[in-house]
Amino acid sequence: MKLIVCLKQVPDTTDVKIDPQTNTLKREGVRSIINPFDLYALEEGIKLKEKYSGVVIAVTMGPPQAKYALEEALAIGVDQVFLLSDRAFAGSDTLATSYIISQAIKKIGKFNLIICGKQATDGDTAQVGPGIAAYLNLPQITFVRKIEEINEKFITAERLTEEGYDVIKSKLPCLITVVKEINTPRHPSLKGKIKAKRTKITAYDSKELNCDLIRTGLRGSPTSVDKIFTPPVRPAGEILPANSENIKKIAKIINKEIEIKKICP
Amino acid sequence: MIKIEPEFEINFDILFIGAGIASISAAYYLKQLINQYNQENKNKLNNITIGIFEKSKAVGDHILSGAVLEPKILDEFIPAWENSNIPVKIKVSQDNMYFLNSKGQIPFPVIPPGMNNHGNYIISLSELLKWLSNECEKMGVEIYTSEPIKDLIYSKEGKVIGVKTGEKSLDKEAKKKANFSPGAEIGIKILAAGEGSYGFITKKLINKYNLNQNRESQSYVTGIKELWEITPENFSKGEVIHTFGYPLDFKTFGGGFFYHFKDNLAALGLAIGLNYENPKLNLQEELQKFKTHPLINKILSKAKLIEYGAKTISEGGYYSIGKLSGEGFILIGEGAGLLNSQKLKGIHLAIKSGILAAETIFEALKLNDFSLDQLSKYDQKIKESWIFKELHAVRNFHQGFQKGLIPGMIHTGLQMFTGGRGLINKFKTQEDYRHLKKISEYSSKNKEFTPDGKITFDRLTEIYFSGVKHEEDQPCHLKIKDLNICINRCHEEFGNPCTLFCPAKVYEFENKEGLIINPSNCLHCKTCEIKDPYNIIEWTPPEGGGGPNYKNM
Ligand SMILES: Cc1cc2nc3c(=O)[nH]c(=O)nc-3n(C[C@H](O)[C@H](O)[C@H](O)COP(=O)(O)OP(=O)(O)OC[C@H]3O[C@@H](n4cnc5c(N)ncnc54)[C@H](O)[C@@H]3O)c2cc1C
Repeated sequence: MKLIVCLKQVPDTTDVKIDPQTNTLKREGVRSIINPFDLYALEEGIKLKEKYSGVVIAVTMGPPQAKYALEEALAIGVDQVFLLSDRAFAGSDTLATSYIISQAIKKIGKFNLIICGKQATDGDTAQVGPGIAAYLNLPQITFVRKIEEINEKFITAERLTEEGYDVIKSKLPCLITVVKEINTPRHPSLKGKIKAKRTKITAYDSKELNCDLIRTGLRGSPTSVDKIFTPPVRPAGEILPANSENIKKIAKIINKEIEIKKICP
Repeated sequence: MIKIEPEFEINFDILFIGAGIASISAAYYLKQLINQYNQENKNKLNNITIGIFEKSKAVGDHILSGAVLEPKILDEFIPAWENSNIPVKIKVSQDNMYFLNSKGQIPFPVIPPGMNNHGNYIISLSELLKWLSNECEKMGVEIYTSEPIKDLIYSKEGKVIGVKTGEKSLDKEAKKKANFSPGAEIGIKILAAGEGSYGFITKKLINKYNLNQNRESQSYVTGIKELWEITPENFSKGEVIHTFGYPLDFKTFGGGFFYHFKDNLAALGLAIGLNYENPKLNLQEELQKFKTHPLINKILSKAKLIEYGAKTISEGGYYSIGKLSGEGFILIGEGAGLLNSQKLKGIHLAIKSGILAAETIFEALKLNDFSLDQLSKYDQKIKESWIFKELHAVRNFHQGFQKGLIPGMIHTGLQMFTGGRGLINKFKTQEDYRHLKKISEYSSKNKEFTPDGKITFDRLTEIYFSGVKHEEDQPCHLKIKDLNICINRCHEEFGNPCTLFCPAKVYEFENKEGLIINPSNCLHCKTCEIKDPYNIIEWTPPEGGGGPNYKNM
């Protein structure tokens, strides 16, 4: 089985501190990590490989430092990595990124399954996975919480929904995005870390990927960001000890909330 | 007879524990020696693997220092350092020393020669380490982070032949979680322990091989430090202030520092000798009091706290340094006891020990001889170097203060005129924890201290500024031999001093529940293991990656 996992390097949000005076994120010195949801994608890929044998290939697009994300992927257990890095890719939105990654996957050739995390924690768009599927003309199952069955031709997976889950069967090759319920990511082993350190990671540029430069970087990105702001801090909740008096008080508060919602839903 | 040695799946020729300045300098120097040799010789030293194993998530995260650096050592180490982009740029512009009482200060008329900082540089040690470790990696030194070394592997003959890294994903009850990963066993030719003050593995080596036989016991100081962003009006780049006296009483060894670094950043802190007697002493609170002194308070007006942290310092010096090599290993840096207690400086000594270790290892590699005889040459080199001369000159400094500040000053004065000998040569020292007095024996004048929330803070507020984080669901890494002693004896006799001296408020006492331990707050300073009056706490390395997250300490 040939499995491709797409991953992204994001700022470690647990490392980001908030400046209490200005309420903005302090980004200096913030570390980069693999997008936490992509770790589930990686784990699922490696588990499938262990079960059915085959290879797992990790792909990332980003600046040269993104190689550290691939180094970690190697340490965790992928067999091969592709770093897509070029100045012409800078400023790519989700559309351009999907295009660039799909070009890389075309270069990789035949494969069975592409696995992505459900979304990245820095943009929360959840668009790149579906975008890649669209560019490669593949069926897709998003928000997968469990792979029920997979063979050479088909995959059956549970797709998480707000109410419960759908069971979806698709032919392969196909693309799935996964949610964190799907598995528990493993730690990189020391052997893996050593192997990763000793692997030279080279970057592929726009030429090697046969990219049409009109579709990459800022030029290829129709999305524009109007404004970035920190959402207002939510005031702390009130904790009332349980007694009959407070029950009435709470009921009143809830009723008022419902009233407000009725007026301005 | 065929000797069967265990075979390891993972092997490193040279393995360093801890990515501190000692290990990083040694690896850097060793790699240069090897590269130079390979350029000049046909018989090459090929494929020598050099690994540095660090418990923190990234190099520098667990590093806390002052730091004023004596740059002489850089001339030996990186000759062209002044013209490189090495982050050693802020020269000391002004050097002040004061004696403080609660209201005012008296400047020292002359700064003792050893404590003079002219020509020195103010640095961030973690920043320097990031720079140096990058250079190391470019040369092929491999640095593995989130990998604490937790154990040693010995051959049948009792030689160190390997180490074990910590396991990951054990839960609170030490049961394996779904992604449990066992520690790895690594075979080595030479182990160099550069764990800094009170090293966990270093301690095992010292005990197993009796390295400190007939030496004085080590004594320690805990340094509590904060980094502040001060207003440009109050900032005076390169200015260094050292203080004695307030808030510490005459019986307690220690002193304060305030360094104007760069970009309006100022480092301040208080070092407190752990041979103090007062069972009610709260170390973090002492630092808060230091900041209320007019001399410091003035500078901090409208300033902003950026970081907080704590770390112990090995102050025993000359007479407590034991043998530094053994079967398969050597000790480097502060873990080996190399620190100048008068200057409170260890960086230059750690680098020098790294250089000497590199020379010894290089010789061993060339001769393919990893015997005790070969490694013992390291001891010789240290003894013959300026390290020992420097430490010998201040051999009685810290000890001179055993009876308090005033006798200490007198001893120091006499030591200056007698080449370090003073009145008493070689003071007898007792382990720090033995100095603590019982509540009934100590009349404490501790006044209630209330932080103002602007310049002074409580411990819980401050530990947020250390960035400390651990996986919550893991076995407690602070091992207490017998909790009954804490609840029954210690509570009564000493009032559970751990709840006060711990700079991170890891220990709390509740009448109903007894002693509560919050290991997730631990800053890895190790004060508890050193000062607990019953000597029943052991600090062990927690799951890799956990700990403080110092950025510029
Ligand atoms: C408050 C304070 C102020 C100081 N001021 C100065 C000053 O102004 N000038 C000066 O020269 N010196 C100063 N020092 C002393 C100086 O910082 C130290 O002597 C020096 O940093 C020692 O270097 P080291 O490499 O031996 O150890 P460390 O710097 O302690 O580094 C040890 C490293 O090993 C890691 N480690 C430990 N155990 C393990 C393990 N089992 N497995 C994996 N990793 C491990 C640690 O996480 C750490 O990264 C000061 C110290 C303090 C605390």
